[in-house]
Amino acid sequence: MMVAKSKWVKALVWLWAGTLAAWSQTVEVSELIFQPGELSSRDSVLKVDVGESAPDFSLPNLTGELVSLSSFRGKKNVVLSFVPAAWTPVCSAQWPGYEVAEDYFKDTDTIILGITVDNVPTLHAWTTAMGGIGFPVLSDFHPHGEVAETYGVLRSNGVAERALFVIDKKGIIRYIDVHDITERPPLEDLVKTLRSL
Amino acid sequence: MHIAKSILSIALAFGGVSLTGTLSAEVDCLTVPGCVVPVSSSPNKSSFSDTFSTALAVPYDSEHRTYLGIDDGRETFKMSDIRADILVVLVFDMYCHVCGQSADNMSRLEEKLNGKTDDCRVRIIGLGRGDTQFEVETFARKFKLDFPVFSDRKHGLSDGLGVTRTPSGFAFICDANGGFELVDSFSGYLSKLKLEAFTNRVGALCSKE
Repeated sequence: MMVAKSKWVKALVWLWAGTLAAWSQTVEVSELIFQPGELSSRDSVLKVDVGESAPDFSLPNLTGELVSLSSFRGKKNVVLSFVPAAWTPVCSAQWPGYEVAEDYFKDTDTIILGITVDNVPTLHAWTTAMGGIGFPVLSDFHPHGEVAETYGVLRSNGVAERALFVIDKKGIIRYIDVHDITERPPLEDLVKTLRSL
Repeated sequence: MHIAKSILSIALAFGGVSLTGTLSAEVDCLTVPGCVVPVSSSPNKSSFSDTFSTALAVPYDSEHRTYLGIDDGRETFKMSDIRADILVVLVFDMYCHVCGQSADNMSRLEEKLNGKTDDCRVRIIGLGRGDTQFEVETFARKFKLDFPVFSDRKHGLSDGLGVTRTPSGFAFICDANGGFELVDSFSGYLSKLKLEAFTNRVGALCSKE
């Protein structure tokens, strides 16, 4: 009887220790975010302009399939949302916010394509930690930042600017906002543009 | 064997880890009814005063103006002008995914207070930390938050409350002279359990009023 009791006590201790260990490993996304310190608000020169045709590209999404900008021509308006990098402040909030605002995009027949220069596994981990992102997230990793460079939003340290490009169904750039990298672009500015298309 | 399973379930529940092995986002105070999460920094009466005396634009919705007791034609108001025995302030951010995950329970706050706070006048407002008014209203419309919501674009209002993470919630006892006292708070993901515990505590405050 004593032996049985002792086994139960041991089992309980192990369970509790395991539980505490698991508890201590539980983290929120905010605790994983890297703090990059002071950044210059902008560090690139645009290579495209409003009224021009948007340069086409094909980039892998989170399942590795290639997504081309031209595949939306005649079908959807497109918002290209470049953000600097996974696991950084501001970026880790901007896209979940667009999920909340999804009705504006649906109402204006618009799709968002989120782009960073991170590789697919990193983007997979980051977006999963954020609870998933409902629009295509594309990796501009290899060749590194090629699309960001084509649009003129690749910073000298290899990450992208926080930039928005609105491209209409004809493939014409209708709006550009290369925003201060430390701030979120106000949603209403983007919505106003989309409603004007 | 059944006993062992029960013990395992209880242990895992308190550890914040589900039986399927997925890590829970709830790390603090969520499985313990009655637990109060202190705000991260140390706001003082003075910083609260700054928040309560900041001018805000009156809501354009007349029902919201009536709800707050500020339907006398003024263009701006202060939080200290709100006619309430207890003022609940929810701080969130349209761009915070934990706020989105908590929003269903935020929208149930008023419903959960019904029946617990019949003896006093409780009013709820939302502050969008870092949000423009357009963004905070987008969040409120998306998640059917019926209470008035206000932009806190530069964080001034929520910094005064000591907020460093969203969502956060605060309960203040107010008096007729515009005085207020912080009596309860929570921060982080608002689970059903946390909502229940918070509304129970606010209800208990009402019965003491």
